[in-house]
This record gives sequence, structure tokens and C-alpha cells, in this order.
Amino acid sequence: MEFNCEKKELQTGVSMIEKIVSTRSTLPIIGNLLFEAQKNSIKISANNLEIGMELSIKATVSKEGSALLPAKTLSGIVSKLPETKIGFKLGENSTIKINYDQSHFNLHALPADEFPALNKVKEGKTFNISPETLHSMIKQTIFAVSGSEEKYVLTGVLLEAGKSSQAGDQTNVRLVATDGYRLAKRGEKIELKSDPGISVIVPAKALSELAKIIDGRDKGEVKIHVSNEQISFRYDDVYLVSRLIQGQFPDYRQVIPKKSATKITLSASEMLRAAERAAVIAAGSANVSAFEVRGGKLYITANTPDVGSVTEVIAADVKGVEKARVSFNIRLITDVLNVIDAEMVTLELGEGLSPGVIKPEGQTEYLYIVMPIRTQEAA
Amino acid sequence: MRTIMHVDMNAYFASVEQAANPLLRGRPIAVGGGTGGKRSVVAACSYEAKARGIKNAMPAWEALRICPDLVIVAGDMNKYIYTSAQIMAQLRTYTPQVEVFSIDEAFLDLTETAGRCGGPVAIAKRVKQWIREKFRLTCSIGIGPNKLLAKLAGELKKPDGLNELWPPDIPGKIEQIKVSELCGVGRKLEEYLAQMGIRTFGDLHRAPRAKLVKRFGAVWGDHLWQMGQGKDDAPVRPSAYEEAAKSMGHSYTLPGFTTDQAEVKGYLLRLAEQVGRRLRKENCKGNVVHVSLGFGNYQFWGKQRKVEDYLDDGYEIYRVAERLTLDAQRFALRNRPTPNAVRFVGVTVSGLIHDLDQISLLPQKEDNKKVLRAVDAINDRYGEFTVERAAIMATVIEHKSGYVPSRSFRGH
Repeated sequence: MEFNCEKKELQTGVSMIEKIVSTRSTLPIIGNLLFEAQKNSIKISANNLEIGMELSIKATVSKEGSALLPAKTLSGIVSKLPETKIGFKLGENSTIKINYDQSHFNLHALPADEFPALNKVKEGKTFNISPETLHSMIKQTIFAVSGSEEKYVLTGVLLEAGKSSQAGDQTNVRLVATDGYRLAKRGEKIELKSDPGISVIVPAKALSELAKIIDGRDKGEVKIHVSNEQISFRYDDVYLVSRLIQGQFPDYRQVIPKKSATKITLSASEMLRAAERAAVIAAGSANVSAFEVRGGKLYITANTPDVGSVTEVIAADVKGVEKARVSFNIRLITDVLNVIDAEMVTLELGEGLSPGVIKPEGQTEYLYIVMPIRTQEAA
Repeated sequence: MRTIMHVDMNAYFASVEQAANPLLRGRPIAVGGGTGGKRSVVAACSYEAKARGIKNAMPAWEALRICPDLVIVAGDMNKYIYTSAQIMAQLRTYTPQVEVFSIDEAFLDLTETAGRCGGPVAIAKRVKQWIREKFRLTCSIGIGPNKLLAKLAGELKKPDGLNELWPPDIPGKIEQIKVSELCGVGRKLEEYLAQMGIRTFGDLHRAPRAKLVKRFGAVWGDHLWQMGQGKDDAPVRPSAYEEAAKSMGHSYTLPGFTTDQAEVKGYLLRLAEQVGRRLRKENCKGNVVHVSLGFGNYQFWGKQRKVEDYLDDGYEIYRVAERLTLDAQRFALRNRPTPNAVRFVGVTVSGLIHDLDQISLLPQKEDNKKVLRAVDAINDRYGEFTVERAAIMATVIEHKSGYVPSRSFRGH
């Protein structure tokens, strides 16, 4: 194997793929990147046995071949190389010589055939979606997943694609995520040639890596393939494949409140700033903040003994009855306000300890449900 | 003006031991730290021992050299905590404003209630009598307009004192008290004050405010001056305010060693269930689970993890604890030839929140809370473990020695 490529090209590729690499595994081989030189491009692959990725970078190949390079060492070197042409040459004693300017590295490489091959999705259901739309859907849902190993199913995001819609909206492609205390649902109406009938749980890690790949990209489409065990995403020269989470995702349709007693509309940015200020005080009291709707205003209050208290007042358009105090984890509120793309939001509250619903005003594609906290005064 | 009372138990640990064992009364005794043997130190000593020159923190061998007939008793914290709790509860019958300052010391704010009980001196006499009759213990009580003077009044006579200190008594009665006796005056500060010629309370009382402020800054200088005038604004803080538990745990020492993982897990589950039960009783939840295991050769292993949810369900606590113990097996292997046999199991939950319940949007989670409430109600009425998880019973069936008698479990 022997090739030349631009440092910039190499760095883009390596930095995109190295996040997949697992360094703490009991299987050291997967701490490597697979380099395959063919015709005029280099294919780089990573596989952590959960998620796999491959991508191509442009190169001048003088001798085809392949090798495994230690991911961590390589990315450390690549990020510090000068902006110039970089030469790679596999020597006799399985050492890779990396040339640039007048200097060079010699890295120990491993034979490529020991690397676990990427298990690609060959057959299954499929549909396409624009990278911009998918990126926005991921951003608005992924933060709501659970990080807890004890709630394995909730560490993934539910992906639904199909024409039949009972989700209370007009969309046919949806991402839904929940940690058991709040739920984010983002739908989209997409022209589908046939009904793929997809309903699978995708690990959050796979979606967050995908989001980095398609961030800021507006051309072409992401091709999604789903089999029983796996899901794959292809965009441009990048291919990402992940194992699916097997299990029963909670029936989110059941938890969407059918009606609300109080509906208020207010500025998203004002509410976010107020909530973030309240969070400073609430941090000392398990993030508990009380919400109250009174006299055409939303009051957010928090207090921590020995620290102090805060009362935030926000002007709001109030429909329905005034709402007595109900407490929420303020972090669950700031989380959603940070990803909503709208000037105004609506907050719907029911009676007693029923959930709160936050939506961007006038949009039905996005919905966020947050469960209240039972406090002593509300008990 | 407020009416504050300070109650200070005399030679508390040693007196409790003497009260519990008639053979120790009237003799020089020391409560030993550690094992209570010759290699321990004197944690506390009786008045008889003090009279012979024994001091706290003295090594036991030295104490025995000074006083060969000294009796060294192993400390029993359970006894001291129990007695203290009883006394504090009795103090609360006079006012809810009781600040538990330490295990043997408390402040009471009697401003509102003294009048109804015949005045502070009458209350003090009743308290002393109750403690003497109930536990054969004595205490020194001081009464004053604030915590500072109440405490100083108590210091006037030990043991078994009862004194009052009011503004007209200042500095008169306490003229000669050393500044080091004042709360917050440590050795360094005492030295600085001595350089200014201030050695006694009387000296401090006469020191000009400006001079103290110049030397110690606006905050400390003024604070010292206030003390010298016998002034102190600090409120009596009821103990509930600062004594909210920071963690809850249970541990158990096995009757023998075991290498059976399933048996260890059985203990772990039962302990986790007990912790969950206590958390729910106190209306608490916690998000940090700590597990400790004791192996052969006194090797201890412990690990904790912060989790996403606040837990009060024993089974959920167990699941986190069980995952943590995977690490313990590696520990046991690393520490060979220490036998991989477990003798001690402990589970603790910290990161506590009180009176808060984040409602779940998963209906089965809320149903589970109802089940736990129902089980708690049954166990409240018919005794602990009347209803228990089948998994605990299963350990009895599968592993004959896996049964953990619930009564032998003790909280800490």
C-alpha cells in the first residue's frame, strides 16, 4: 500500500471516524482504523462492534493494499501535521512510513485481515431524507434520551417511518426520545414512494455521530436502510451502520395529554433566559422550580435554603384557567427551549400533577412533554 | 431580650458507662478509642480519672502508668447516641427551638415558652432532675440572653452547675475567664490577643472597638468586640434544620465467609430493600449508591456511582449495587492470596432529596410506586418483611445458608 493525500483531506476523514473507535475495549484490534487504498481513493473504516463507519478520502494511489493503524496515535499525529501532501507507504516489516516535507514517522501497523468486517445492511426497509431535516430532527430529540444503563431501551431514539399515523400529527417520519420524565417527539412529512413501515430503536450514540457528519450539509439525501438487527445511513462517501436496540419502546401515544386546562403563549427566548436564571438557584434544590400562571403572567420561582430565592415574571398570552403552582425540574425545561426553532412557544398545563406540554407556536411537528415533581406542598 | 439555655453533659461518655455499670461508679475510668486495649487512646474519661491527671487523647499505656487502677472501657457509640437522643427529645418538650450542638451539648431558645413553665431556672432544675433520675447523669446548665452568655454561664461550674449570666453581670462574674474559652477563639487568635495584652474576658470587654477592628479587620474585629460586650445575635437553630440525614445505609457481617456470588447478592438485595424501606419512611430519595464488601484478611472494597434517577425502591438500588460489585470481583482477584471470600456487605444511598417525587411518564413506574406504598402499609402494620420480594425468599430455597435473619440487620 502506498499513497499520497492532502493533510486537510486526511484530517477531516480521521477526525470524523475516530469518535467511533473504542479504546477501552477488551478487544484491542478495534482500537485501530482500517486503511484500504484502491484506485484513486482511500477507504477508512472503524468498528466498535456496536457502530461501524466507513468513508473515503481523495488520494493518489501508487500501490493498492490495506493496513490497520492505531486510531489514537494516528489522529494525534494527523492533527499536528503541516498543511501539505502526506505520503503513506507500507514497508516489508509491516511498518507504515508517513512522509511529509523532510520528516517522517514509522508506525507499527497490523495486518488488515484481522479487523472485524463491517456488517452492512444488505436487505431491508429503506427511505431517504434530506440531511438538513434529519439533523434538525436529531437535535430536537436526542437530548431527551436516558444515559442510564439500567434503562437500556431509553438510551435509544425511536425511529418511525410509515404512512399510517396515529401519533396525533400529520407527519409520517418521526423521532421520539424519552428518559422516563420527559419526552421529545419530532415529526416530518416526507414523500415516500412506498410505505417502509419502520419502527426501531436507534442507539443515541449512532445518531449523534450521524448528526456531526451531516451538520451544515444541505445537498443530496441520507439513505436509510433498516434490517431486523441493524440500521445504516449513507450520505456522500460516508457509511454508518449501527446495531439496533431490541426491546419495547414505551407507547408514547398514551402519554400525550388529550386536553389542557391552561394554555399560555410566550417568547421562547424570554422564557429560556428566565428559566436559566431560575436554574442557578434551583441547582441547590434538585433543580425544583415552581410554575404558576396568574394575571396574564407566568411566574417561575425557586429557592434553596442558605442560598436564596428567585422569582421570574414573564408576560404571556393566557387562555383557559389560571394555574396554581406546579413544580418541574427546571433543567428539563431549559433543555427543550435550547433546541426549539421558533420565536414563540406555547406551554400547556393540565389540572393538578398532570404533565406540561411545550410546543413551538403554530407548529405541529414538534412536541415536548415534561412530568411535574410532587412536592410536599402539592402532596 | 431572649432567654437562651445551654445544656452540657458532664464527662458524657464516661458517665454513661458508669451509669450502665455500677462496678465502674466512683472509679477512674477511661473510654478507649479503637479496640479498648492497651494500644488505644483515651477518648473520654471520668471526673475521678481527670482528678488523677488523665487527659483526653492520652495514649492508654501512658494513662495506665499515671493511674494503674484506671479501668479502660471500649466505647459503645450506640449507647451514647441512644441516651443523647432521649435527652434531646426530653429537651424538646420545653420548646421546639432546640439546637443539638453536639452529642452531649444543646442550646434551647426559651424566650417564648419559659413563662409558661415557671421560668428558665425552674426548667433547668426539672431538666437536671429528669436526667439524673432517668440516666444517673449530671449536666451543667447556663442561662443567658444569648448563646454566648448561656454557654459561659454553664462553664462557671462543672460538674452539675446551674448559673445565669445577664448583661449586668458583665464583666464582673466572668472577668477572669480566659479568652480561649470563647467559642471561635483558637490558639492562633489567643496568641494575637495576648500580644495586645488581652488575656481574659475582662481585658476583651475593655478593649476599644477601633483597636480590635484595626488589628483583625471589620468582620472579625467587630465580632470580637461584640463578644467582649456579651452580645451575640446567632439564632438557636432547631436541629431538624441541620440534621437532615445525608445518607442512609445498612450493613451486615455474615456469620461466616462465603464465596458464593448468589449468596452475596441475596444479602445485597435484602440490605438494599431495607435501605429503600427507610428512605420511603423518611420520604427521601437518593441518587448515589455505595456498596462495600469486606473480604478475608480485613481487606475492604467500596465503590459508588451517581445514577440518573433519585431512587427509593430497594430493587432499583440493588440493580445499581449489583453492577458495582462486578468490580469487586476484579479487586478480590488482584488481592490474592487474600481469599475471595466475603464476610461483610454494606449498601448506602446518599445524594438525598427530601419530600420530592419526580413523576414518571411511564405508567408502570407510577404503578410500582403504588405497589411499594401498599407493601409499606402492610409491613408497618404486621412487621418488617411480612411482604417481601420473592427473590429474597428464593435465596433461602436455592442456597440453604442464604437466609438473612432480618432482625440481625442493623442500620447505621
